[in-house]
Amino acid sequence: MFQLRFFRFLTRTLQVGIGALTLASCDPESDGPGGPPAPAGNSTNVYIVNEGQFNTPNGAISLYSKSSGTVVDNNLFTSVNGRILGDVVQSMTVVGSRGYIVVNATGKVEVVEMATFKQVATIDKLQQPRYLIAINSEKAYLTEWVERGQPGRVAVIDLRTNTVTKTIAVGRQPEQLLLANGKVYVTNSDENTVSVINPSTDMAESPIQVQDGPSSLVQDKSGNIWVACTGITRYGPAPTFAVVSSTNGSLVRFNPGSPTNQTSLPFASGGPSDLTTNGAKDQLYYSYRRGVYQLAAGASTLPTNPIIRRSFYGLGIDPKDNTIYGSIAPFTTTGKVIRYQPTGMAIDSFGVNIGPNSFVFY
Amino acid sequence: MLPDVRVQAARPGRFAVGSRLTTIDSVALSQYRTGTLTDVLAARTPLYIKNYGPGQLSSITIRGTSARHTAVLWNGFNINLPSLGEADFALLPAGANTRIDVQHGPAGATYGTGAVGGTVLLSSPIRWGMGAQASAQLDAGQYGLGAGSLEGRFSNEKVAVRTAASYREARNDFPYTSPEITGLVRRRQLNAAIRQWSLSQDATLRLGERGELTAAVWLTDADRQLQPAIGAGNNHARERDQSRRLLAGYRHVLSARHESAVRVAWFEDVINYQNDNLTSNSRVRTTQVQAEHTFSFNSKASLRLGGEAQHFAAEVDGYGRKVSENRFSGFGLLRYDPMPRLQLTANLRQAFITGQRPPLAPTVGAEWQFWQTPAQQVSLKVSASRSYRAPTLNERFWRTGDPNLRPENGIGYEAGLRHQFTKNAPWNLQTELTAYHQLVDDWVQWLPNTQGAYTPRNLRQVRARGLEASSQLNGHWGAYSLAARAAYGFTQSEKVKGRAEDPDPAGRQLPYVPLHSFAFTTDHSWHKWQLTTGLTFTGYRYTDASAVDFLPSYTLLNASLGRTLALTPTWALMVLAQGFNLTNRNYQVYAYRAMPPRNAALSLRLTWR
Repeated sequence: MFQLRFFRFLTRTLQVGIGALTLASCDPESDGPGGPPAPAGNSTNVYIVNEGQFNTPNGAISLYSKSSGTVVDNNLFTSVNGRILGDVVQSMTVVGSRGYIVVNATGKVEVVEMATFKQVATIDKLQQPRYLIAINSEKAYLTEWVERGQPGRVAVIDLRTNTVTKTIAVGRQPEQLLLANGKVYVTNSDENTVSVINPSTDMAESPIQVQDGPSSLVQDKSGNIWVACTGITRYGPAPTFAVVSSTNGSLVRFNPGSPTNQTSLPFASGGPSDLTTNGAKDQLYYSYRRGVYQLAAGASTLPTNPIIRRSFYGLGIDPKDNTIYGSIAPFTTTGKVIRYQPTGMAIDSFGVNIGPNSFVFY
Repeated sequence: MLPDVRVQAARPGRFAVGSRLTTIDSVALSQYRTGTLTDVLAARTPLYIKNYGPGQLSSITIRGTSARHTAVLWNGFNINLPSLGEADFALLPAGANTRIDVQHGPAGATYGTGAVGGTVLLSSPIRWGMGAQASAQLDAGQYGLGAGSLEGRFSNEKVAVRTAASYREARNDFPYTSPEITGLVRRRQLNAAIRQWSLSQDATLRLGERGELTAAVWLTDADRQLQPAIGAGNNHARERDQSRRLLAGYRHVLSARHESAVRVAWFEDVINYQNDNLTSNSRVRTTQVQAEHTFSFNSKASLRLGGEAQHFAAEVDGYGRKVSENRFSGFGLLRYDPMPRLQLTANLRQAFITGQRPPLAPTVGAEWQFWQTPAQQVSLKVSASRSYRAPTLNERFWRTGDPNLRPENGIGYEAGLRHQFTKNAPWNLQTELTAYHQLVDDWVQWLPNTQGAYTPRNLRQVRARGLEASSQLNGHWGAYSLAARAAYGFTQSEKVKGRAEDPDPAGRQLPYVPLHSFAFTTDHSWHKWQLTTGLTFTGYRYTDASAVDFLPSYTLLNASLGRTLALTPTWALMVLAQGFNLTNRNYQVYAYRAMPPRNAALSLRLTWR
């Protein structure tokens, strides 16, 4: 009898307890699935790629509206689609009306409709994907590191089905790619080569030797290709990861018609990164040490003074008005973006998500 | 009758008057004998154990601090890994010791470095003259759980020995749901299997009327795959953790007024990590000695003076060279009871570390039973303490570490009321309420320097304050007995000041510190039946320093039901069914690490005597 009563008491206590706790939990308001973001496609939006923390799938896309001057959403993919984006969001490319978000550590590309940011497809089972470019409206190339120390590859993606149709072997740790004069140039960042692929046959041609550590590249107004070679620093295999060897970087320029005839502008120490151009493609910008430097496409020497004395984790130039976007990425906390006039004068700043590394102007 | 001098060694808690203590005794611990301290503390206390998955890295947070701010002591020696400065509670099997005391709050003078947020004391108190006892247990559960434990004890009035061994393995291939483009996809957890064992051996020998010789060995070994985050790639990470701990001590009672003790210990801690891209090995050997002398002036006052020396020898890949460090500390602990209802302590410790000097750490405490009736007593407890944390070997000697890093130091205050209700009826109720406030200065954070390399720096001041309330009911009604305990913690912890180069914002709740946490446990026994329930609530926790993303709050319910079958007067078999996460809650303790759904295990325990 007592047992029965006691257990009734216990169950009731537990029920009341659980109920009270549920009521008292008062979690902060969570962003539910949101509506369509700010109007896209008229060059008023900036999409910021936030890597998130390593080994943690908290990468995110922030949406900044230039017209309202506000961050519309700091986790756009999750707000719209109600699921996490993934671990180390490396880059984002717009092809036509769709966005292709490359998620490095998860090994996938998320495809979204730019107008709504609604998910369209997931291209998965990729190995350390990095950057994607469109060849035409039906085909894209995507670099994959595959495995450290091993040759990388370029995945050929059918944009109609969002599937990988074949892969093309390239050099170690392939980074950014460039479509120029009917050829695709792929920077092999753990080598001193740029792979060349004929996109009509998907066949690799003879690679071009540049300097150590090519990782970003652009084509200027007069058709020359510029490759930012960061130099290569090799570390021991285990902690302490001591420096075994180190080479300095350079900016390498060549005409696609005569790739061996190169102009190389060497750096005294370290190397340039995040090479990009302005809208007219007559000015180049890159990050080097603790500054951002500007270089005329016709220059034959490197500039000595930076236009911005600050080091950025990511650098972007709005092709519409040449506003410079630089990002700060502390990784323990959310990062921020600082905007500058083309002259290097600061305009304003806004907070984004964790680890902002690049910008898409759309 | 034993001579008066044969007193039990005074517990360190004797000099910790005025602070809050949560004790988990052998009865409560015996239910977790094949589990780990993570299982015990997560199920029975409102402490937040940040857990990367079942059996995975588990770090504790007490009173809004980090795992580095909790000292873990085994028989008086600090067993935090010297390289990391913290303990992984999943590597400490619960059955290895018979008593856990959690002292909340700072106590630098009493327990030394790292006793900032709190101290966890592991021990196996001796009960003399108990004869021989033995037990064996086998567990089988879902997701490949298999575990076993053996325990044997013997004591008469001269010698006491205890051996405990345990083994645990689990595939941990439990299902979880992953939000993907096709909707919620049910997947099985990969790369989360664990296998671990522990062996502990304690022996104490009384030498004549005045001497007592103690020796203890504790070996632990764990081979774990490291569970990847949901939505992250699997880089096949795994880790081997091995610790070997040897201890010997001698205690001599010179007279009713004088008692001396000396203890030596040698530890070896191995952490070998590897994944697809790298291996990182580490081995640290610690040799240490403690000596103390206790003067008992009269029944009211006693003073303990002592010192400690430690030598660390580290071979850690990340240091690039062999490294050694010496640490010394001297302490004085005074206990004075001027009236039967008033107890006072004043403690002091000064530590010395190669190349730097932590602050002088005093602690004062008082407990005053100011109101009482035959059935009820109310006491006031107050304490103030300075705490410190010496930089870890990693912080000083990692390739990007800083040998000149200053020790962190904190000042904390607390005050509390304890109410005890002991009716003639066969039950009693104890309730305690504590409020605390602590400022920790020179808090260390790893941040990228101008070259982009992560390096530790003394960057900020953190303020932790909160409330702790607990209530415990014990009772017997005929064949039925009940122990029920409810405990609640309100914890507010935030950075209040920081250097300019510290990007984390001030004034936000620190990540992985729940504002609210609650635990309610009951232990019932009736004739040959026993029932245990554990209900815990954990409030939302931010997962980043900007306090934007958070993990939702969750309530977990565990229960076990057992029946004892007496085979003979000396042999008994107990069948125990255990259920975990009974409400099948989908929750995460650490962001994106899946936790098992509702699951069950069955145990058979054979006891002799």
